[in-house]
Amino acid sequence: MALRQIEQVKKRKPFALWDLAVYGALAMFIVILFIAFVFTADRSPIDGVRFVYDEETVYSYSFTDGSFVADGWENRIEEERDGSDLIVTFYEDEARTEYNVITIDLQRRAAKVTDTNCSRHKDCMYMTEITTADGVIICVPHGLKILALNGEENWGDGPILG
Amino acid sequence: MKHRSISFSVGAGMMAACLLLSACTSSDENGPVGKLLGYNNFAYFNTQSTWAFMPEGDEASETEKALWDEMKSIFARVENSVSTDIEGSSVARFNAADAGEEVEIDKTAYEILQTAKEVYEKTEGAYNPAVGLLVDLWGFTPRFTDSDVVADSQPYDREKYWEQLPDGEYIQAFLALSDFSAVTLREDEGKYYALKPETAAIAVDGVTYTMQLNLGGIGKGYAVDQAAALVRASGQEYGYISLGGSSMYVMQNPTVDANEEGVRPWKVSVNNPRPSEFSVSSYASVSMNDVFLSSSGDYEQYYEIGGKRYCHIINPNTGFPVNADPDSDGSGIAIVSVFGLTAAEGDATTTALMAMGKDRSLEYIAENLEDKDVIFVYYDGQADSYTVYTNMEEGKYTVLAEGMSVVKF
Repeated sequence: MALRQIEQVKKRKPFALWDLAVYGALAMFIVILFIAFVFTADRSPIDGVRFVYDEETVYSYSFTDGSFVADGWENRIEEERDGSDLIVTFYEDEARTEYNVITIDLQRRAAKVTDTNCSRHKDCMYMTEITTADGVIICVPHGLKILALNGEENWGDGPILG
Repeated sequence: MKHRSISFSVGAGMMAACLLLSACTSSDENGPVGKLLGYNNFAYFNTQSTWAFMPEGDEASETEKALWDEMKSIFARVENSVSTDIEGSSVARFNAADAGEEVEIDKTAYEILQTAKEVYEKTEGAYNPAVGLLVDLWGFTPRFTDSDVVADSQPYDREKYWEQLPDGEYIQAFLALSDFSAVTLREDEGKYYALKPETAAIAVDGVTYTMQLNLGGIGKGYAVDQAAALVRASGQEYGYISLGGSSMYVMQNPTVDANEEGVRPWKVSVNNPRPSEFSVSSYASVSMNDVFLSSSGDYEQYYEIGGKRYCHIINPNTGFPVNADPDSDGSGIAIVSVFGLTAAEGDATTTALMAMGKDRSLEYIAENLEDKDVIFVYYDGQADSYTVYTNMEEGKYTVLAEGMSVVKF
């Protein structure tokens, strides 16, 4: 079909009915996703943060109970207090060459990655800081997940059986 | 998980907090007596072990740290005794032995096997640790569930065990190897022995198999029993010990008011076995203190084929996972919890109740657990409904899952 003929067809009938249906469904899907993620997200303030590595909580900091380091991780987690910040360094390897530095702002109750050597782009440093219960920062090269703590480490809440 | 206190220079604030705390304590003797800290660890039984306790002041004392270290050595000792995938463990050596061979085992394995035998007899075989080969056949041993374990494949392995049922020939053969009553134990001058029965061998397609034990569940309970004895001997009153969430010892909760009886019970949440049906994390909560708790369910380790759930608990009568017999409509107990036995007895008993099903369980509880608290969720496959059965007093439990009816027995 010549280009001119295509242009003529498009002028007469810019969208087929099926095209419109597909575009409508896509738009609706995007709206649903937007509603699901934006309006149903848990925006409650965080109780603390926890670091998950290889599906194990290796460190947590609760604003009420302080910090916890999983057994065997004492040499791979370092804490340092700087004013109202708690600076936690996570070493991915025993040799302590791969690291992420996470700054926990104890006044604002927020956490973010402030230094790392995970990759050239250092994406985890540019992820939104964690201030609400739905917050999460992931460092893919180091396999580290930083999640909001929402009462899980509040030992007084009682054990879970089963 | 190890507690590390961080010394922040907020002395004035802390002093004020301490004054407030002491003021509260002195003005109300029944009020909370302090806060709780704890340890977590993931090194044993491929699951989470927890000791939550009330520290002196704001951090763990050397005594508490030493207790946790001792507890971990108990967990390690028990795991090294009963694990099927630790070379040289008592159970691994028994499993590797020929039929008719007597194996020297350690005291830990001996004591666990003695308890296992008692519960086996009491439950008329509904709890049976000799179904080890069937657990492996169905794909629930560490070589399937723990990525760190490297083991040889077996002739009965399926390419995708979670999509294909095992060969019936193997189910029948391994069922024939599960006569736990034929295992004999003896002690002689401080040494302990277990005899693998002469009859516990069978050949399938030219390969000979012998009886295999699986003491994982009861082993965790035994470890909790030992850890609880240690903690009680140290004079601790507050906190709880949990191993994998299914075996637990709860003492008292320092963060709540004392009740009319002067005790501070824990509110223990019981896992919801069907999160896809009920949008709560716990289907019930129970109020408990100074007691051992055990739980078994079909919801943590399972796969589904043709809409039917195949879980890690094997029915010793059929060789199939509980609630998944060939003629089953899926009806059965989804989770059962028992309070008041030792943790080892409780673990074995809850496993047995899962295998018994609802009606036989109700009879067993009436005859053998009359003075214990029991709660379970029964799924009726025909009605597609879930019912909570319990013998607990009103006020001691709360059902949180809307849509589960409650039957008191």
